[in-house]
Amino acid sequence: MGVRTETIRVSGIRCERCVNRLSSALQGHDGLESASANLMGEVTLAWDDERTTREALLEAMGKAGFRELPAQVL
Amino acid sequence: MSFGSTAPWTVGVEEELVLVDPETLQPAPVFERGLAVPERLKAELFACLVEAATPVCRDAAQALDSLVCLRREAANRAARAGARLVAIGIHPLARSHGQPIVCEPRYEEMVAKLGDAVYRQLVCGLHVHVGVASEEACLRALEGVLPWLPTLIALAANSPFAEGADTGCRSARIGRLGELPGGGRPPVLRRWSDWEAAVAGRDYTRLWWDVRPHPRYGTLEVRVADQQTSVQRSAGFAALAQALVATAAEEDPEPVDRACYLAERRRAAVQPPHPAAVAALRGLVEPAARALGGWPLVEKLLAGRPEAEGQLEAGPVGALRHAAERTLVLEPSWASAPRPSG
Repeated sequence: MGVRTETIRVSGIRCERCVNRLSSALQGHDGLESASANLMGEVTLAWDDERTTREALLEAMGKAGFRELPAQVL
Repeated sequence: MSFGSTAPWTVGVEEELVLVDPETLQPAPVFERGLAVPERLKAELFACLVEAATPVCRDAAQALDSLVCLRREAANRAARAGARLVAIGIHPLARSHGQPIVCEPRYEEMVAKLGDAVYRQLVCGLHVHVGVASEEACLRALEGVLPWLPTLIALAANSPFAEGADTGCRSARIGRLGELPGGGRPPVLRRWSDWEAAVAGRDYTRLWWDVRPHPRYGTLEVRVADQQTSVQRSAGFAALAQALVATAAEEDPEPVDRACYLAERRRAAVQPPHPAAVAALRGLVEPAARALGGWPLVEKLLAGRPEAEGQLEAGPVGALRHAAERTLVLEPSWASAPRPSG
């Protein structure tokens, strides 16, 4: 219970515009405490797991075209 | 290439990045293990450094895209060599003496010339090339840019620590550049023949002036900024330098007193940027920055604080860790602030 933090590797992050698009996809997502992305396509999310879930966040990102990559792709 | 060979006010950016051990974050001299990519990732004196150079870009936004790709490529190559990247003005903890030098004749000559002093140059700068239309425009821009360089130095400060100690500066790199023969202030260059006389018989790329003509690229090169940890701040300085050069090239100012410049340069390496100077710089460059499309980056840059401040708050160990974590981060406005609930 409480805030969970996880770094997820996703497809499709190539530049600042991609990050801004990801930002829009997550904007206002209830329960998302913070999010940051890096140039290697890693998104670090912190969320309140009483208000949202990892799956819901992945779905929001997926709608904008960002898909989780399997760990071995790292 | 030569002056006028590209559209005026095009930009090219060079970043100098440190290769470090992923665990200890100490310098990792692995450049010669597959880091080099012709024209893009180059050697920079020490084997623990890599220089990332963008192609000619029409504006700073395009330069940002290129810098993002270059940092990513450098990071991937560094990982294959067992290292990672840190973007910072001076590695806060590294012992510089004895760091391996890249095996190239130009660097061997430099070592022969400078001796042990060469190790003081384990520093990282952000260099911005701005295309200019002619030799005359280049010299006008050089003189017009010069009085603003201390403000750029203060804004770009990102090297307060060296060898694990507080240097008392916000940009210790600036002092070290001044130790190089021909480093720091450029001479007064009223006409192109003055430049030819100044570089006669020498490789002009071995003159480490704070701002210098680069006729082979057809650019004026602004060299004072410390390497920025944030790639977006790097692009911000590219936009700022572009607008400043474009503005300055339209004027024909009297030469700046070089002694005054040196005094301001020293002050800027130690003190935070003066708000009035930043406001004046902002007013000066805004029209050109808007016209050239770089204003959003300039505005964001000038609204932020120099990265040296975060380093000083964190101390040398924390500053290094922070820089290592942030080198590959893209920062949209949402990333730093908690999301509003509900």
